[in-house]
Formats: sequence, C-alpha cells, structure tokens
Amino acid sequence: MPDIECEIRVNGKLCKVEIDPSTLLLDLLRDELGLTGAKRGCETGYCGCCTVLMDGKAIHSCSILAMRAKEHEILSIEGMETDGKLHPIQQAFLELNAAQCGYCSPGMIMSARALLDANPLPTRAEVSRALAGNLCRCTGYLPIIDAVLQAAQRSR
Amino acid sequence: MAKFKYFEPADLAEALTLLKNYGEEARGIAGGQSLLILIRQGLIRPQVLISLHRIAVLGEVNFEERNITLGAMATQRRISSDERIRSRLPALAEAASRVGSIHVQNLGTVGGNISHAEPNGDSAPALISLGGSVLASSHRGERTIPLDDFFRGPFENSLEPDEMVTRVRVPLPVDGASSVYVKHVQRAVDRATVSIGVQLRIDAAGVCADARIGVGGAAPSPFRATRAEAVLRGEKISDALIDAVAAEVSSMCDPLPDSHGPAEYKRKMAGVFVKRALRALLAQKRSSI
Repeated sequence: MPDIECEIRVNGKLCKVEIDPSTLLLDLLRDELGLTGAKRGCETGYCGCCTVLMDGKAIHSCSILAMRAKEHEILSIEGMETDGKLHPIQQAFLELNAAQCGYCSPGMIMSARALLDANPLPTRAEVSRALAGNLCRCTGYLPIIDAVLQAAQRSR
Repeated sequence: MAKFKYFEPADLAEALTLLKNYGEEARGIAGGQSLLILIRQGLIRPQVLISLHRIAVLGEVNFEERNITLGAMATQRRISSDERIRSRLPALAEAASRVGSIHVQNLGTVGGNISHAEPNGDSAPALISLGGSVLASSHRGERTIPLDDFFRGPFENSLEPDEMVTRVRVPLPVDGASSVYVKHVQRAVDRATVSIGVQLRIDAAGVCADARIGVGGAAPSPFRATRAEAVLRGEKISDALIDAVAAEVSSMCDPLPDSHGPAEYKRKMAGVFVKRALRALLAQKRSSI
C-alpha cells in the first residue's frame, strides 16, 4: 500500500508526514519527527518506556498505529517544558535523583503527568497504581514515587 | 512490522462489507493492544487491517431496563470508571480495571479483549459470571452467542471470518444479586495466573438462590463452572460448602502449564480464588444487613 498522508498534532504542533499505514506511533515520533524521548523497550505493552499522552491519557506509543493517533493531541516528553522551564515533575525528578540510567524516565514522567492532570493531589498508592505500567530496571521506584508526590505538593 | 492494507470505515455497514470482501485475510482492529503485538511478533500476518475506531456506535454504553449493552469499542477505562457499572456490575468494572496497566486500559476494549480469546483474559470470566452474551455481526445479519459458548481454545473464538463482535450484552442483576472478580497475579499489570468471576444471589436465610462462576487462566479457554454452581444452588452457605465448591471448580480445570505456573498450581489456585470470591460476597452481604 502506498504511503498515506497523516496529519498529527504533536506537542501542540501540527505535523504532516507521509507514512506506511503499518507505522507505529513510536516509530513516527522517533524516525519521522526526530523525537527520541519516547523509548523503545519491550514492544509488548508492558514496560511503559514508550509512554506518551493522547488527549491527556497515558498510552503505549509502541502499541498504537500512527494512523489511529490522527486528529488527537499527542504529548511527548519533549513537550513538557514551557518557555525553557522544566515541568514540576521533571524538576522533582532532578532534585530527588529519580533517574538512574534514565531509560524509563520519560515514560515515568509522562504517566505521572497524566495522573497529576486528572488528580492533582494523589495518594502514594494512587501514584504507585498510575506507574504500575512503567518498569524501572534499576529498581529506583521509591525516589520516583517521591518525586511525583513532591511535584504534586509544589504545584498546589 | 509486516505491511498490510489499511481501512478506516466510517460506519458498521462499510466495515462488514470489507470483512465480507476480504474474509480470512482481514482482521478488525479495536484498541490494538493485543493484535499489534501479535502482528509485530509475526504470530499472525493479516493482509488487511480494518480499524473500527471511527464507528461511533461501537463506542456506546447503553443502560436499558434489563440489560447494559457495551459497544465492542468501549474501552476498559470507560467501563471501569462508569459509576453505574461499578455499582450494578462490580465484577465487570473490577475486571476492566485489572487489564494490564492504565495505558492498556486507555486503548484496550471489551470487544477486543474477548475476541482475542486468550486463556487468561480478564473480561471473559467476569462476563461469564454475569451471564453476558456477545452480539456478532456480519453482512448476513446479527447473532447472539453466550459468552460461555464463545471460546474454542487458546486464541480461538467462534466467529466466522466475515463476522465481528459489535456489542456485549450483560443482564442487570435481579433481587439483590451481587458480583465480584478476583485475580491472581505476581505483579499488578500481569496477565492472570487464574481469575474468577462470581455472581451470587443469597436469600435472607443465607441460602444460595442462584450462582454463576466464570473461571479464567485454568483451561484452554475461560469457562463457566456449572458443576460448581450446582453444588451451591439451593444450599445454605457454610465453610464446608465453600470447600466443596472450590474442590468442584478445581476438578473442572484443565490448565495449560506456562510461565505463570504449572498446571497443578493453577488448578489449586482456581479453588483458592473461588473461596476468596465467595467469602468476599458473603462479607458484603453481612455488612449490608
């Protein structure tokens, strides 16, 4: 099948690309748009390091066709800062050393963003639940959860 | 990833025509949370993919006098966050909230989950316990298939190549029947080792008036534990009776050994989790009196 024109809104910008319909959103972001923040991990919808938001909801960009994301708002880690200022969740990750190798961090931060946008003052259990779909193989979960809770407090 | 022809039909008639024309070569794609993984891993290779996301009617959730009808494209997130479903059909809401992670629930759908027909999916045991049915459509018309007759083995369902699930119909519980879904996992987002849905109606004297039990993960397909239901029905519920029900459920299991555990372990856990489900329902009943 020839490439199809696909208009997709990423981090507030309308992007026009020609893609094969089998292109995954993750591949569109990384290979077509050069946004390499979302990482390729398990590719089975388990590890969460490819997490982006679609209309504010956390999804695995490895488990959705780019065509399906048309006419929706995609937010990736690259769209988190405003006017050169990090988002409070990113700032808290820095301050509390919530990243070790860092591979899971973009996905963790995006899942946390979806949570805090919907539930600005979550309990620790709610944070754990929201991040249950994001694996950290350095197993640094405690500072990650601390960072999300701190970001929530700071944003009050 | 393998290439395919791709369609986004705007209505159901168009989707059914595509299924008619392409038959075995085509797959409908709902949330894609299982199908895209199968394609990428090379386990299936459809020549044609028919995305159902533009067909608005498939996303609807309708409460009727006696039933709730879920469009096949209703997401698990939509189902688990619906207050009416949570209060009337708690087993269904709980099962929806246990499918993978929130990410999977945001895209994954009830129609996709049951069509995928994995031995340990979450929707099936809950829907079986609630007496749910699948409404399947093709260009030839629509038919109703009870959930407990929908599965044909691991990743096999009873749909014809030109058919698709369009709706799932669940009767609303009568006379104070209540339901629960329990799932045995290692980590929160895992697939079930085993999982159990139970709907139970108990009268004022503590006698079981009706019971339905759905079992997942403990056989090639999710199944209804009819023999165990018969042990319960008409009896006063006691610890001894609960043990007998659990033994009957275990005896009906035919688990596939896999990374979730050996067959014997799953058989045993099916019994353990049936006991937990029944005790949870009894505790609810007591606290509501």
